[in-house]
Amino acid sequence: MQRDAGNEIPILELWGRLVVPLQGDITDTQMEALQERVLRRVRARAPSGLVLDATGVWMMDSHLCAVMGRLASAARLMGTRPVLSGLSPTIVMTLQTMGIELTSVETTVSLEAALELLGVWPDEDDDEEETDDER
Amino acid sequence: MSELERALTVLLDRYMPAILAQSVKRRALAAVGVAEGQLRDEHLPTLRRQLESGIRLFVDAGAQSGLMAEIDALCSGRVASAEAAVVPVRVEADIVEARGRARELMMALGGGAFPTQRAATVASELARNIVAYAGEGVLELIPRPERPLLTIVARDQGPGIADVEAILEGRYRSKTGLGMGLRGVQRLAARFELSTSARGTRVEADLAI
Ligand SMILES: Nc1ncnc2c1ncn2[C@@H]1O[C@H](COP(=O)(O)OP(=O)(O)OP(=O)(O)O)[C@@H](O)[C@H]1O
Ligand SMILES: [Mg+2]
Repeated sequence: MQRDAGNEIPILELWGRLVVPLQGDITDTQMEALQERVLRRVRARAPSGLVLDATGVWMMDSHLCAVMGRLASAARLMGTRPVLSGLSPTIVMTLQTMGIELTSVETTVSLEAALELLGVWPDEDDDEEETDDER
Repeated sequence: MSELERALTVLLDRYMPAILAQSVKRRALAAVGVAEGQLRDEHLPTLRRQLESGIRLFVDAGAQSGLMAEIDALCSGRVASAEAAVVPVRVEADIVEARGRARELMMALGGGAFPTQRAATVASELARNIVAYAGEGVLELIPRPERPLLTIVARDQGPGIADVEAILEGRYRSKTGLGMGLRGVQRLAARFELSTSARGTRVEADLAI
């Protein structure tokens, strides 16, 4: 059940957006390392969005929330729009009971919804680059 | 030492100083004619009577019946699979271990997804605080099938917590995190007790199913 601390969480690039599929029982070390790798990738690739997908995460405590929030804020400072997707109902209810609000980052119900929010439309093939960010 | 004997030790430790708990246990074992480390389920009814006489001597009158009830529960709950666990906490991997065990035990008690999540989160918060601020300590995870609930006790001999009131009222600004850990634990728990001094910290939380 316990994941190897040396296990690297992958960072995917989909249609010009970075996607981080968080999985399983994430250790502090893994999360620290991830934060650094993600920010380096953001800098190198200048993606138009960053999705932290929590669909595969079974537990989130206040520390993990804090790191997640920091990562999101840092990405935003670097000009990339962060989205947190797929938090499970039990995680959401637990955080709510604890009084922890993840207000620093936009959230969506699923990875798909996050990509849509970031302007990726499954029906359009070529011009999705134009559809995002009209700010 | 058997799981049973360990569970008993953990239980007695919660009601009296470890040194007294040890001697109450030793005396009872001796009276039953069982060597330390050799306690088995069938000794329990006799042992119970012997423990009771020691407990009358060393435990506050108000707490005696509570302890005896827990001993009874321990005896009758012997068929249940959820065994109390003691997780030493010092490094990061121990945090993962602690929350994993809390999760397993809550599931063994029949807890659903939400109670399981709450228990794991509480274990994670308390274990992390030990690693971060106290250096080392232990988490005890005690299933109580008769209630039913899971008691999580975190103990350490670290420097103690300076401004508990501010923390629990949400007025505290953490330098290291959100500062929501202890307050969160309190809000997740059905019962929450915290005692802290320059000699250490002890947090006890009951997690309902
Ligand atoms: N076991 C402990 N020993 C000593 N000090 C502690 C202990 N647990 C907590 N503290 C102190 O209490 C403060 C509040 O703890 P709490 O868990 O509520 O928040 P945090 O650890 O700062 O942040 P978070 O848990 O949200 O990541 C800590 O910053 C720390 O100073
Ligand atoms: Mg904490």
